[in-house]
Amino acid sequence: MSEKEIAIQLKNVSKKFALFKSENARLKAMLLRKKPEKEKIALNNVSLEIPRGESVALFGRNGAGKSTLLKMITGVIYPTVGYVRVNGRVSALLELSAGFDPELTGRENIYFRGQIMGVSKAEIRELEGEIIDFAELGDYMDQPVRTYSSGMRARLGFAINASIRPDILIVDEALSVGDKIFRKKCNAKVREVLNNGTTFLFVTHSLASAKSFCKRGVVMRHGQIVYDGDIDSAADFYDRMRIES
Amino acid sequence: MSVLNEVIRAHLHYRKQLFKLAKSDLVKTYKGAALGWAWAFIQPMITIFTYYFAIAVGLRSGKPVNGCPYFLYLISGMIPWFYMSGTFTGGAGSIRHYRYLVTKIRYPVCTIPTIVSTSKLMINGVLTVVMLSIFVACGYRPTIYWLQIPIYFLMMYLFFTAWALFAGMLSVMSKDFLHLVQSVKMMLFWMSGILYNVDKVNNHTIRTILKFNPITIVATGYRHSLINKVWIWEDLVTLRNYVIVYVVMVALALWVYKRLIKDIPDVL
Repeated sequence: MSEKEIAIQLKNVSKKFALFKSENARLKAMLLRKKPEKEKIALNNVSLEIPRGESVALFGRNGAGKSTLLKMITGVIYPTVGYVRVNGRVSALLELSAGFDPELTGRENIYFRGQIMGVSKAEIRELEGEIIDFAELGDYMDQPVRTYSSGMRARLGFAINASIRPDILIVDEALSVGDKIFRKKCNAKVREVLNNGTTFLFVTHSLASAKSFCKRGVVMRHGQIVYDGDIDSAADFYDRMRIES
Repeated sequence: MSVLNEVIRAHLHYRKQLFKLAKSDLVKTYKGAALGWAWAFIQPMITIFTYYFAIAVGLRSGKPVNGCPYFLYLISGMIPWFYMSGTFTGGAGSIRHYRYLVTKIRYPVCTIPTIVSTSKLMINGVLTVVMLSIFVACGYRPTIYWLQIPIYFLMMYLFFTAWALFAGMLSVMSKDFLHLVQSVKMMLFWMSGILYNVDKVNNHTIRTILKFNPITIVATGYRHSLINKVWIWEDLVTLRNYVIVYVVMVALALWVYKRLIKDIPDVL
């Protein structure tokens, strides 16, 4: 595969979280480059390659390393060993309210978020209506985000992330919030984004929704990739793994 | 060197976002209160009045300094102090405060302290203009030396932005450090040349040390420009001290940045 066709590439990536008894012990160790007292291995020698336009579901129980992997692809955390390469604009819904400034209004946050992600003002203005319609916030659009309910934050977060035409869209369970009608809308939106050739990385516990969006499935366990293949067999593998444990 | 390069490039690349964030940082500070922006001026006025009252009325020591009324002498040190004070503690808390920029989205962490520093500088720019107007109202004609004010303003910004990066990074790792910064602030204020002229301190060693205090350096510069009519190159001791403390501050900031940057998102 040529460089251009790869959207996401991880090569022998490991992530260790250093654990310390106290904040000051941590600080001391980091400044003096000492070894940590304890380590938790979140990712253990993970290699993964995702071509442009592919949609991949990521399965795994809590603590398997899914969120760590996604955060690393988003560029929020750094690998301890190995390297991560990402081509294109990443839009990530890591947690529901990802990256809102609570003091700004919903509308201000749209601009704010867009500008941080390098979208031009004119482009955001164009998308503003679409985002507002989608989020269904009504008069709350001009209220500070700190007054929003978690559902409202999630709707706005999803609307922004899906609308700014990302090259790579990362969704971490966000589609499972809201009522049925909103979920339907989200699903339709994701489908629309996928039709534009966006690379999609989806973390979910719902096998049904994974199957409806993704062609490929990756199963993680204890920080390692234990299965990587087509979605149906990955889902079966994950199902068996769940039952066994 | 590569770290310095990285920091400068991040600032250049994200300059638009940086200004936007600094502006919204400023707006957020004053939005919502009924008096809103007025607080940006009421607070400093009350502080200046308090010090003036304590020193001139209470201690009866508000004598003119070098022929300049003590009130004007005081404000020429207090106005830059409001920026320094705000950035000293605000910078230390900056990365913790903007946690969501670190852990939720991809954003260059080294520019976060600059956001806070820049936002404080914007409001201080307005206060500086007010200060100059007060000088004019008191009969001081603008002189060519006033042109040095922007230079000292910039020197102050550069130093405290480096401080903000250093302290902001450390404060993420250690709450103790954040508390220390908050406690030490008033000490640095009283041990600087804002309220009194450090040249009048008798002990030579103490005088020399006080002149390395960046707060003294900035206050001295403002007074050179507004009151004493001294060019920046005529007071080489102050200039030399600035260069030394600035280089040390930048080196410390870059060292801490290099050591901690990869761990910051894991800890926040």
